[in-house]
Amino acid sequence: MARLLEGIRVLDLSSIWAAPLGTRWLADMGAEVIKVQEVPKLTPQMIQRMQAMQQAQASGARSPAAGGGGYVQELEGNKRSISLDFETPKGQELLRRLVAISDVLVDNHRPVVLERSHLDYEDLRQIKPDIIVVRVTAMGATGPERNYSGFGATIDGLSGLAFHTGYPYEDEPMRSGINYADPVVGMHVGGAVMLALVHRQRTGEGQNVDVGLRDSTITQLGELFMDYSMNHRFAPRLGNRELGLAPHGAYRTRGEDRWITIAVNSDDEWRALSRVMGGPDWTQEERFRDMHGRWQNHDELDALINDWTQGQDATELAERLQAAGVAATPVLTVPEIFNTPQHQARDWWHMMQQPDGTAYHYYGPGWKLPETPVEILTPPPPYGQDNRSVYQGLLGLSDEEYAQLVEEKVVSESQYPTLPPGMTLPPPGGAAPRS
Amino acid sequence: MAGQALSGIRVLDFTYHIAGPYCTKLLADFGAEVLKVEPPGGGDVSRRLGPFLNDEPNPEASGMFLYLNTNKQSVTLNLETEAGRTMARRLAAESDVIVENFAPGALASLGLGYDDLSALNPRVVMVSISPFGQDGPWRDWKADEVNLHAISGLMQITGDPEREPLKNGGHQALYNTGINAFTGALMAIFAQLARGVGQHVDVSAYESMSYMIEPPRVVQASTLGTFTNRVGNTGTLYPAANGHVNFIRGGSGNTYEVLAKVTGNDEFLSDTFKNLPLLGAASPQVREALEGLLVPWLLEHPKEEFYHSGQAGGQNFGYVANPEDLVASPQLQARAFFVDVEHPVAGHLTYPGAPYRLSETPWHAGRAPLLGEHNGAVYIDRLGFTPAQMVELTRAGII
Repeated sequence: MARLLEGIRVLDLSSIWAAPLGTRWLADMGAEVIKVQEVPKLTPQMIQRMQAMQQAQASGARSPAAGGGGYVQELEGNKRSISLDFETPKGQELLRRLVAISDVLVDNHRPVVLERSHLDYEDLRQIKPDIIVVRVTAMGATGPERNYSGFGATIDGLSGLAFHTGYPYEDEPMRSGINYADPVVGMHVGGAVMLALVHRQRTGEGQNVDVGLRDSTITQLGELFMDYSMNHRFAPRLGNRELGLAPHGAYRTRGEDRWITIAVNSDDEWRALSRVMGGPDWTQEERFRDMHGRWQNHDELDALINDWTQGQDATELAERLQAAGVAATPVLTVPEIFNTPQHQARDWWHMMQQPDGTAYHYYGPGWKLPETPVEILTPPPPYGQDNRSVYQGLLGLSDEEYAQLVEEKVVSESQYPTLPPGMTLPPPGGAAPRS
Repeated sequence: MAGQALSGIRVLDFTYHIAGPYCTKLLADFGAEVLKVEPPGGGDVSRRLGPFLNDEPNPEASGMFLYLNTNKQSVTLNLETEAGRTMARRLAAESDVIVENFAPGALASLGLGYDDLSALNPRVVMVSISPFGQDGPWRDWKADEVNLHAISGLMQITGDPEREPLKNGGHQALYNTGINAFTGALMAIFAQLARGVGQHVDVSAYESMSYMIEPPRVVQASTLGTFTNRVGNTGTLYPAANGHVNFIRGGSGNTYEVLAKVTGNDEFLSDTFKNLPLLGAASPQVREALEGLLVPWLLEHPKEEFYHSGQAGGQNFGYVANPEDLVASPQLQARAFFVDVEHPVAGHLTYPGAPYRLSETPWHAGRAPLLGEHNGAVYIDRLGFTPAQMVELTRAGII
């Protein structure tokens, strides 16, 4: 059976994490995602990247993240890769020709970038009336801050998430350990494209989709804003706790910096936890008898539970608690997330083969669709791998025309720029390159 | 509402708490006709979760419930009774999509599983949301917000390294699960429209959280077996006169030159900040030098000044916004992001709006239903019960 999105072509002008994650879900479902990559220019950042590459090659070190910083490795399977400088007149023309034979265009440049190249939605729908254009920006495509830049790291603060994260009742907000807005927005981009595709399937109409990283992230904090609107206050930071329910938290276990999380949502679960603890006397105390009492005495409760958990193995203890009907999981380190029995049983991680014969874990989606499953058919493509098949195969350019594009740097076959004659790369940390 | 992306698509919603209701909120806000089935008496458990208006518990004034159930209809129905299950089957037979988040197998044990309902309605899409998925050794494990942050690797790397690891604020794991369920549902709806097939979509909260870690860290952990532990706010958040700011280097131009301009301090142009790597984290020495210059200035200036002046210089500067900042933000006001919603019990409140905008099929602001508000419309008008039968069903505890 054909894959769900077989025959749907997506032009993907986006980079790094959020939007490429969204287009990854489309590629996994069978869409033909053509990643349009920048033609490299000799900027200071590029020179540093080239120095790092040269160093890595000289030292013989195999960098697992070489060439894509890890983002390409984890997000670009099943995709095709071409390069194009769409800020040149010839590049604009090529992009328009590609839009004419595509269904979806995804972009995450600041709004001004496509607008000054006359590649805005209104321009593109003249070429392809049912095109779906998805613009992913920091602050949304309208409003006075529309051209402000932002990444997951700063949206964490700008959305209210960092304000709401932190240890219980303390004054200091806390950054998430990850650039949290990125994967959240990536999920939303997948959903937004599917909404537009459902609409197009029913009516034949395309549309313009405006995704703001900040907007999407704020919608994940509904109850915080409801509390502000209802009670004119900021909800307190609760750390690992859950309003009105106790115990909820992370408790120390055997080993250095090892922890278990336990969450109790009912009196039945509290009794089950008490039984696993061996029914010590303190669990019978009046102050811990009901949920309200435990919530009021959460600090004391946490200290007593910590006394019990420390010295035990987090994973074994979580298994015992789950068998008794109590929600508990070990706090895993990043290298430990791959081989859990549950992930293995559901075959969730795909082993992505690299050209040198090694493999790495390539993650799956949050949903399983048995009739239209995900298939990982091709590894992340090297930069520009599909230049010829797209420009010549799809657009019908001749060998000469293609060579001319490369010559004029409208298209590149290398992700690094050629150094001008006489110029050499300076040592890392040295002065700017001299010609 | 006509003219929305999902107008005319009928969703039967057996979900409760956060993840499932967030999925069906997204479906409803984008136009689907969502019928929420709640147990008679108490209704959805989130009606008993705060925050409450004036801190007074009231099942019609829970901020959590009000936010997560916009644009839905509510009927009460007791699935523990055979009569209730018969009515549920009739509703399922005329639905396009069914969403549920009971423990795996629970609906099947009531004769309301996918096999039962697809026999009545072969095109139906059923979305089942659970902590760990519908199969596997952890299928019957429970997991709440904190447990999902722990098992996905996210928690170990968040918080102060000297203290316990920390989850993100709010209910991020459950909201994320809701988005995954929404995306999975849309994919299945697309298959239903394009090919006429139904299917049982299996959404795992654990899997929904397992791709949250930065791809470079995943690849590093997979190939080298190493990871960088949590660092708290070091090098990312700095105090300002009225809160905190944060920023990352990069953007167009040199961050230190912009800092010199923003703070009026040429020390940022000194050799300490020359020829540094433009990408990646700064060394501890550079970081301390930067903090020594920046923090005294920040403590005398509002966080918003740092944000706007840095952005004017093309830099990725930001600040830690609180709800008041955001509701008053000129950018969010220009986009009419927050919406005012009137509710018969909770009154006039300001809700976060659309996660994104579709030009031809707008997102719609609406209110959450009262418990059983649509019993009459559904049971009398749609299923053909008489008012007298409704009285009987109510007395018998079926609705």
